[in-house]
Amino acid sequence: MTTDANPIYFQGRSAEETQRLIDQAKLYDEHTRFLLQNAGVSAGMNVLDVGSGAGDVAFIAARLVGPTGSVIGVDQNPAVLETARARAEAMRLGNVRFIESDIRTVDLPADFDAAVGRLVLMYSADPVATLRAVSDRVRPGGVVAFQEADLPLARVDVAARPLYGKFFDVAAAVFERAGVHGSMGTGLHRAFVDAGIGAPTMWAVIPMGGPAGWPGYGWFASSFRSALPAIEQLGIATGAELDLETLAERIEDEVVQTGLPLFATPHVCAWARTG
Amino acid sequence: MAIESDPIYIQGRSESETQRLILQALIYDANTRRFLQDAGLTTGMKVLDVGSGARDVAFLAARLVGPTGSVVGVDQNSEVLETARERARAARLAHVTFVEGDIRAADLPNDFDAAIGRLVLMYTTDPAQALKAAVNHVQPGGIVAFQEVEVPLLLQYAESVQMPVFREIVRCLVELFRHGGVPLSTGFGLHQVFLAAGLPAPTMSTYSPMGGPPEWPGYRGMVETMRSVLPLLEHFEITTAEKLDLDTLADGLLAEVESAGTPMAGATHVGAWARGRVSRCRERRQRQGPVAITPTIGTNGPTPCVIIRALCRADGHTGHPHGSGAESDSAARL
Repeated sequence: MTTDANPIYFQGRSAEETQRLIDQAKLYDEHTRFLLQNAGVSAGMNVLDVGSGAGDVAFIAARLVGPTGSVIGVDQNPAVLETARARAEAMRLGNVRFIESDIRTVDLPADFDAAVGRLVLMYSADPVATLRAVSDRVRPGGVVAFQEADLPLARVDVAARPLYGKFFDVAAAVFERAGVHGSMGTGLHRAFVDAGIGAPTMWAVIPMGGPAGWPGYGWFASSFRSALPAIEQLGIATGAELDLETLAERIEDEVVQTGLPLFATPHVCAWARTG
Repeated sequence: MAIESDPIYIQGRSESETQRLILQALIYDANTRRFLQDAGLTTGMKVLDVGSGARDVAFLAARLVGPTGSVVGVDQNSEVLETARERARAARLAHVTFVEGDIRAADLPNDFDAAIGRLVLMYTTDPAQALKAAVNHVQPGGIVAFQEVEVPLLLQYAESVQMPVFREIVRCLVELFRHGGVPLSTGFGLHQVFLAAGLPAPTMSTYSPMGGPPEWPGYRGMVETMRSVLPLLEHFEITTAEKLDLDTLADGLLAEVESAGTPMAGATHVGAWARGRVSRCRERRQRQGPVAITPTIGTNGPTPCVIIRALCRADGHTGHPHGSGAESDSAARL
């Protein structure tokens, strides 16, 4: 059901990618919880999680809404949904379920109290149309809250840390050539306005690190491992050039040598209420 | 938020000042609480709040540690502390106390579970030295958690969008930092400051408010910040009241956001936290006595002390003579 013109989800759909999503959650979950709390997601609400992936955002929402609320996660990838269901069961979260579908065509009611999503609109061919389809599922006065990446915000001190700079450029190239919206984060303002929701309250976050054992080092390397087939296919670089097996150690070494913290991908959080 | 019943409000604090502090609390306090929780602040802990000033951070911490914990705020400004004490009594937070003094010389116990601070290291001549002094009061393995401002990120964003009013404000603030000798990049610099203070590399994250709808507090927050620093902006000939036109600035910013289709941004707070080393802590404590304070004397008008006071007021947290009128929990209800 993928729309033909959609950007490539260049990380692919491997088991390693699913594991990467779970690692990513360690860096970003506290910020997502903060977003949902500030947006007003609370006990008893019915929440729609768009592009639910491995389920991390749905699980945050499920804990906020509690047993009297519910969460429905929608994703197009059946394999990742199996992982999400298994995780929900392991966490004994009985108030969350997952549906394989496209949010633009899914058959769901239009009275959700809130619709949420993380790193979803950036992979949509038409984020405004997607956002409009999402807000159509939300009752008047309900919450729309999204958290999307904004790569240009991470272009800091690249000259002083060449390894970081090199991989920043690789990431920027793969975003661009895969058609992914690399500035979706700050672009959320315009997307919300154009979708008829109104200007959102927003903030940008950049997780940075860090101490030995900080999950960001491994996550940084595994992000490029997931993207490697796309990086090679798009002619950006080869696996031999990138040497991803040693990347986690090398990027940590650069942090130690330069004294500059490693930036994970900046995210922008945005929320507003529907009219 | 019970501002009307606030006794401090009656005691000579201007309406605009109160409003500005409420706006600041709305924009930043919820994130500070998230940050402190992430750092591990929890029930029953004994917390040292450095540069306690307007008491916002001390009160956030007090609510996190609860009545079985305690918070000691230390600040050099006795006037601030009297206000903070009254606020603590009014808020019935009996487990918060305030001590007058400089963290680098104060006589404080050495068994705190955590040392915290917000927008305080940026106003010291040697942040690593100040942080080291704070760490010396924390027990081995304790929490060290500070939030500081990072200006270049805001500047980079301001220069990337077509918003001349917003860009001019950011230019003024950058110039003010430079004239005042306040470092622009204390935020990202926390990594190195932690290492230089003998701590492990910290876990960090940034928070840059952006907006927003007409009711977003950031527009008026920016206006009131500019109002607080206006005398200094004029002193350094960075801009004039006429050019800034504060009475129409909030509307101007909102109109610019609407026409450009891009959000405005506020100052970036960078949080960094780590746990103190277990083995070397005591040895370090014995090696270092209290450190003398040698303020740098400015050559261009007001001393850094004066500038620092003004900037502190602009940030609404440290060293402010009146304290915030906002309930710290208000941001969570945004």
